[in-house]
Amino acid sequence: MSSSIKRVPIRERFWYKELVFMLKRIRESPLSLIGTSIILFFILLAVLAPYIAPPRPGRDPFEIPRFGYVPTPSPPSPEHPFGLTEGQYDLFYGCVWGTITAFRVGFLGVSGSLLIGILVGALAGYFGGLLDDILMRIVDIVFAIPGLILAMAFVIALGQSLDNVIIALMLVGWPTYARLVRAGVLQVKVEDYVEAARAMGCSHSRILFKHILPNSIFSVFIVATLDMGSMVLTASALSFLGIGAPLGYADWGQLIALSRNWLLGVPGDPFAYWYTYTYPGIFIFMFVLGWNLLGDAFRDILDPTLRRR
Amino acid sequence: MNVIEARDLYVRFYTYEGVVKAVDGVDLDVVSGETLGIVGETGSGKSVTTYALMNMVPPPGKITRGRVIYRKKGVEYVLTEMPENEIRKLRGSELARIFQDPAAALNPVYKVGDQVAEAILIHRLDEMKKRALESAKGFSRNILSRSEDDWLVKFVKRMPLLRRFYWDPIKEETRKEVVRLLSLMGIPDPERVYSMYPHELSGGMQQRIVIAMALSCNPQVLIADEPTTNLDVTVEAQILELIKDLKEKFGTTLIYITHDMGVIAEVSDRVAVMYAGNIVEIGDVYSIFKEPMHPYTKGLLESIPMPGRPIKDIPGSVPNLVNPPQGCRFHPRCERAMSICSTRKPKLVQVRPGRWVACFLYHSEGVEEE
Repeated sequence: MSSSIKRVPIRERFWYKELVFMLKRIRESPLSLIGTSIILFFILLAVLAPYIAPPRPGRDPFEIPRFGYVPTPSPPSPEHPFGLTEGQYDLFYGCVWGTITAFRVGFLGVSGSLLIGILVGALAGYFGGLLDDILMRIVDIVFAIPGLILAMAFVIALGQSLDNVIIALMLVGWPTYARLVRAGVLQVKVEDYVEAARAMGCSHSRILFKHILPNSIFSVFIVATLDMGSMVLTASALSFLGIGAPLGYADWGQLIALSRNWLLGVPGDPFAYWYTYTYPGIFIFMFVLGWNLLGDAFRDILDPTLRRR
Repeated sequence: MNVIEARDLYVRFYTYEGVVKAVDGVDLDVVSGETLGIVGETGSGKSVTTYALMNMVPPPGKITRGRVIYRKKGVEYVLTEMPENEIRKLRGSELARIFQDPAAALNPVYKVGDQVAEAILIHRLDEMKKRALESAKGFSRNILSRSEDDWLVKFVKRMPLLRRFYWDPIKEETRKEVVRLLSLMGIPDPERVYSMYPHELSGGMQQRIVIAMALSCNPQVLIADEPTTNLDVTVEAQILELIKDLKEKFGTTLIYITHDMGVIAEVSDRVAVMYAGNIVEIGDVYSIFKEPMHPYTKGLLESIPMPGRPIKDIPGSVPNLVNPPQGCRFHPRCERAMSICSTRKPKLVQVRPGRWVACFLYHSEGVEEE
């Protein structure tokens, strides 16, 4: 490697300055601090899952261990801190390993949607005309059908499995991004610097991906962060309806589904089986809340009109 | 020798209000090495004409008729008949453009130096590669000395982690070239300015960057579209000096668009006066100022504010180009309009060597309009 290349000190690199700026903004607002802490907690939980809730040797770690076959749930005890739900599945184990499932569903679902959405929106916005009309009518069609119902239809058509749930979420989630990106591209493509790039002899793909997209993509990332929560929520709903993860798979929606028969408790004591729905419910609630708060924080941080130094 | 020849050029914009006849039968020759000033009011089609010269009229506009020929070393390129990807190779490298608002012509998310580098990497990659080969060592040298068709080169160029062996020496050479260009533009401390973002620079500095981008590939023709309109007067003078200076240094042919007669007098050798999509008068700068022939040119010159002389404006305003007036486009505002002016459109005719006028006061050649 030629030694003439000057190394920029870390403190002056773009990403470093950006990171410092981001941390400063997060520190300034209590809500984004809470959101960040919640998500950090979940990340920690996911990373440390094998230590917090050790899987049984030789078994798939996502398979929740069960301690008997009695349908009636058993209350929390020192061995099972969250109790055992219907069919004696361990709630604590399920909640901890369910975090990994939630992240997987969220990240894969959102990044898949983003990829499709950005591509479709960028092409539609940049080239316009007939292509725009066709792509945007497809978007309208997907929007016309309620998301959950469409996702259900996709899962049933593809076959029941968690992977297919993720694919269904991608296929349902992309139109939002497509519209956002298209709007951004339409706004940016009339700017002078795009014309200047054209006058410089840039090709269409270069203009679109190097000059237009970086200027119109911020809002999309904010929505994507907010969507992390709602994707997990939809996946949970699918599991609750019985077409998500297979029985016994560590997934929060699945655990809620197992508590369905015990929501009303026993006559005289409506909260007899409170632990069956409360614990997984709290996990889902906190996860979605965390992403929403973080999304709000990102909206402030990524706002390009803010002064950066 | 003419570098650019436009013949019978028509540009139409298809809008909801109707078809805008933005350029209506323009003939224009640009002589190699000269500075051609194009002057006219806002909406007279100055910018659109020069967009047409690069065959990049922005949609919904279209060149509906006519030819644009670009000549280089005896080779003729008919820009209006070439495929887009062929013209793209000429844009930036042969025909460059400076924009009116430098703040808007720079992409806010990239460092200014990288934006200049982009232009160089598009058109002068081979040259940069050759230079990089001279300074590169080790594996980089090995890779750079191979032919582009070599499978190893193709692989290394694209492979993450390995691609830097190919690109880093080239980028370093490009960076040096950009720094050289920036200092040529009179930018102090070009190394530091290289890594600044557009919003950190003043208008004058931004315009220098834009000019650096335009001149980075040593174009034969430079089109400057009101490059000083948005600048302070003192900065305007500096930029004008710079453009004149660089034109000499690079041997570029310059097309300078403005509505300011003072600037025209300062920079240009020849002047084309445009009105409502037509060229009404062409001549060398001295004779145009000394002895304007077309009533519109006269009006323009009389409307320059001067001490000791009352400002005289041209009554009325530029016509709507969806429905331009019949006959001569200028006749409703013309003091010396005759009956023929409202029925026939005067042709641009050479009345004296080097002097072309489209007015029935000087000749009787006209066209019936459809």
